[in-house]
Amino acid sequence: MMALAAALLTSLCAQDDQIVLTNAKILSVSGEPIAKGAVVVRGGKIVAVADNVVFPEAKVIDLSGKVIIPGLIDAGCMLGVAGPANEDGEEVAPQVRIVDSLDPRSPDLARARQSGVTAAFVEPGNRGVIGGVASIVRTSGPSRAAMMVRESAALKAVIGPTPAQGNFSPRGSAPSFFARRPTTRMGVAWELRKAFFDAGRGAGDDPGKAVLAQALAGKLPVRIAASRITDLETAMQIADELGLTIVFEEAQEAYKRADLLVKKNIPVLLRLSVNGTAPMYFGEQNEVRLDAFSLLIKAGVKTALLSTGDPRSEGMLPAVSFAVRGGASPAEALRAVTLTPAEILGVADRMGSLEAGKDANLVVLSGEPHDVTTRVEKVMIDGRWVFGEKTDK
Amino acid sequence: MRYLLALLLVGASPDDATVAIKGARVIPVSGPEIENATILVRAGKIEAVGKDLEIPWDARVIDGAKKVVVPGFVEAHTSRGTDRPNERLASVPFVSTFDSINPVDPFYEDALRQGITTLCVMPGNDTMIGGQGCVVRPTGVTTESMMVVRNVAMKISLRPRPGVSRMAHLAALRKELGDAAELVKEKKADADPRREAMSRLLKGLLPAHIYCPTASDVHRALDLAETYKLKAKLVLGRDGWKAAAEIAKKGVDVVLDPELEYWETDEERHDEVRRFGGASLAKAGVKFAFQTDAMPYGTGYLWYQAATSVKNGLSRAEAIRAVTLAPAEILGLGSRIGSIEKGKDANLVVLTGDPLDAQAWVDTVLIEGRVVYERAKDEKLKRVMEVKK
Repeated sequence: MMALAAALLTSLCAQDDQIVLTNAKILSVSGEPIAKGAVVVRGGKIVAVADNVVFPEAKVIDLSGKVIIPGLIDAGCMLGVAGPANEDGEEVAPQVRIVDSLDPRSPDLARARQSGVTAAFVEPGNRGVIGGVASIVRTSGPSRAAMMVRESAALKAVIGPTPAQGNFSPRGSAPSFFARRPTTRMGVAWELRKAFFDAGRGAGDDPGKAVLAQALAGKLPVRIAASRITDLETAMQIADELGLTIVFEEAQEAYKRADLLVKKNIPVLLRLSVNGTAPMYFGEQNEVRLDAFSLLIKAGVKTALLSTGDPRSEGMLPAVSFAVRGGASPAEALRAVTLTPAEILGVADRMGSLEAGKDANLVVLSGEPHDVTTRVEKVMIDGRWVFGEKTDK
Repeated sequence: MRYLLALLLVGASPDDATVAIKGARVIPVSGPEIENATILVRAGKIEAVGKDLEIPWDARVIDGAKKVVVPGFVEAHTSRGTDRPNERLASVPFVSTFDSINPVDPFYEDALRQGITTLCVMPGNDTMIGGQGCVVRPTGVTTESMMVVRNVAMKISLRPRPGVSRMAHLAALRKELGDAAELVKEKKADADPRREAMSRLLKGLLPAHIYCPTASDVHRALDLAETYKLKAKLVLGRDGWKAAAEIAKKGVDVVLDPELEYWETDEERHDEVRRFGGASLAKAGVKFAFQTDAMPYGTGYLWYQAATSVKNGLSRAEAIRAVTLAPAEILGLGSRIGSIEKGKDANLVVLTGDPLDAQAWVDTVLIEGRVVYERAKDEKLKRVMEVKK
């Protein structure tokens, strides 16, 4: 009798917990688009994606004329980082973790989730050669623990001029932040090599070396920010020497060696620009192509799109528009902000597409995702509305 | 014989060439869209728009099949394309962007590539009385050849310089305007080239474009305009729309901040709220235009600004008007440009698709009847992407 009551209660709860979104166009990314279908959510998970069916007893939300897409994934950002994202104390700082700077109440997280971003790879900045350990988080949660998807997601490194910018030799000069190594591109590459070389000779009880040893053992991917082809080549060479698993970000000139990236199976995260000039914070001018994304996709490189980098805009959907403007198909562009970043981050079993069994992270749009006139209307993370509907806080 | 030669020469001059854009979807802005229409251009002007027009034998025909034609976009306020837009002195009414416009600045080339055919180049927002601006077309290698209207308006900024309070800024501005008004009354201003511009400003012959960085500056600008009888247009900061009712009451035209949508922090709920001002201004009946900024992304382009405003609830027609006819009227050029109508300057943009669609590219641009841009011949664009038909 008691067992029966418990069973009844469970089924009642399940009913109560169930949300059905009907009559919407569904772009599941993993499957064919459904012109008019339903997404069923229960217990924070997607339980069904199907053509319209009638659910008499469930809480039904009619989304006629709307489009449902998977939650957007920003696979390289500093969302939620309170204060500076660079630990300037050391140019090689594998022991620091971005999670310690993460603030769930940060306004940029609130902005991102209202713009449809449901998960983010949050990383240290580009000022250090090795910046620290990055995390994958949901963009909503009362605490860091509630937001966490994977705390130790990758080690951040930079190859190129950025960590050396403004530096000068410490010898004989007045103490200042800039009186430090490295001072050149080759210096940056050497600092990276040296750090791994030292760690490879035995980590001992050094926490930083322990992190590097994990990367050397292939247990922790290395995220490398490098834009120019010369830096990408240096990074690939170092990765080969040390046996690192790498992912490139800000790789604006990656299209020049798409063949090599395919051969080595290295994914790329690309920040798009529409007028042919690189974002201003990358001191040097890179040879940017407006169709870089579609060139990489056509060559077979696993390429995800980063947000447009404009902190004022709803960064990720404009990236979809600009990818399409540069010649990609709308489906390719949408995949590059959902399932592809999920695959690159190794979380595609949980997110990135609308499939039964995955986390209920989804976005309701007023129209097609690549259309600049499209609005984000509702956002759901793990089955809870975080924007557009009555939010469950 | 000499007469005939002269005639031939005139015929060959590009300004007098006859152009026909055939079979396109035309968005005239001043009226409803016309499918499968033809636009005839002669001597730099639009001669006819409509269906089933006979195409003259000597016309250069541009195939408009599957294309969309819009009036050239009008940038109502920009300080780019100049050498330093802000003077160091606080009050320099006698200077003009005529002397600092850089015709070979790639900004103009990019403007053309994005379908902008007219720009009002004004002094920047950092100088109290910043000088006079000019309306230009983004073609030509001399400032003179770019000129549409020289010294079209006076720029006044209500943004205090660093270290100066708003009270001191306003006091200084009133003093400048008051002193000039005295001189005008005593008829001492006109002969002095340094004061001539202020004299025209105070007589209402030269409009004032007043930059209001915050909504609270709007009523100050309107007060100044009333006190000194200025013909004022406002260049708003991003929250300027909050003063929509005051602006509407005075019937003043405005140019919106390039940051059309922005985030505002709701202090009570600790939440971030997305704001867009265009809808309030439209509802209040204010005439408004969009401008662009230096972002290498969307907000750098007028078509994107129009699309953004549709995303935020403005109608398509209102959005397109805010980058064509509305800015033309705000600049006092509503009878010459801003729409596709018989008798207007033939400033036309042929697009590969809908103007608000990110997939549409500018294919051909005509300014005063001359073809000034063709995507098929845009070598710079071809270097950064594969140009498809």
